[in-house]
Amino acid sequence: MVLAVIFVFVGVFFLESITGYEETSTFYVNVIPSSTISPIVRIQVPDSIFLGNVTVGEMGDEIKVTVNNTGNTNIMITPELVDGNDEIMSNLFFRFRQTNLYNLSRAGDFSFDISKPGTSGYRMEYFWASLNLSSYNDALSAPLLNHEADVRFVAVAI
Amino acid sequence: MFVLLLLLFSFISFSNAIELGVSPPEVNISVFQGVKTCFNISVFGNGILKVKDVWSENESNLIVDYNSSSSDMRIDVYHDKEIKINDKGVLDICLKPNNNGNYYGLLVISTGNAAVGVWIKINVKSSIGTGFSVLEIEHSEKWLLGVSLILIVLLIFLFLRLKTRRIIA
Repeated sequence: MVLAVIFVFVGVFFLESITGYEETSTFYVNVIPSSTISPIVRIQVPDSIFLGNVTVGEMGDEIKVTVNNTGNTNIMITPELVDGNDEIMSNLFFRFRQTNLYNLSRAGDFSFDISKPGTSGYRMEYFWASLNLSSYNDALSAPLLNHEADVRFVAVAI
Repeated sequence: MFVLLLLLFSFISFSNAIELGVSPPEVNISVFQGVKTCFNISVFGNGILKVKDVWSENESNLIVDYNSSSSDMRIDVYHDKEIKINDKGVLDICLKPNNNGNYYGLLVISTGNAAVGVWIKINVKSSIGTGFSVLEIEHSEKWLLGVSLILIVLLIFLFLRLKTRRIIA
């Protein structure tokens, strides 16, 4: 009798442990959106921007930079300096609009949004860039002409 | 006339422009630890494009927060570092996470001044259940197996004792 009771207990626990294991099987799948409605992040940016003549110890003019959202989703644009060690271009500042509401920010700390385009297929947005050499102390023996640095506009979906 | 001038101005403004696109802009993956998972993305542009992946410990939509490498996250990432495309191309990416948890990455495809990013969100689970393996049973069910084993041992012990008594009797 005792043996029978123990046998039932063992059977129940063993079956529970085995069947419980089966209950936790996980089905997993990666669901890919249909290609016809896939959101696309797509931008159009100028391949070069001339910041003008900037005198050491002064702030240069603010230059208007235009970027197009040519995809089909809302995006955020973040300009970043490809070479962050460039002594001159590390003084590059950005702001969205030329009003007191928007402070100048360094590359990496500045971003702005562009809504998805309407029926035109693109939405244009702009911001302002300027080189501020007011705290640049190195004395140049001769003018540094056509000094270049790569600024990359990174677009991500929001 | 004004519209014509505006269109002309727009054309002049972007006569020297770079265009770059990617789809989908976000990939969410649920994967098991140590299992290689692959997917692909469509890339729109021209020429040679650079590809890199950057990672963050926390979910963020600020690209400056993505300053870790895949090796920092113990994720093996496989993709071309450069691809050459003409209008449209496909980029294959494979991931093999070595630890469980949630991981947040940004795949950046760039050419010249333009770059587009794809958010990568990975949920890594500890292991795959493949059968009646003791090691793969979840913690919540381990006690059941333990009790079962103790009861089996007790049953054998009682059975042997009963048999011994019968022989003596």
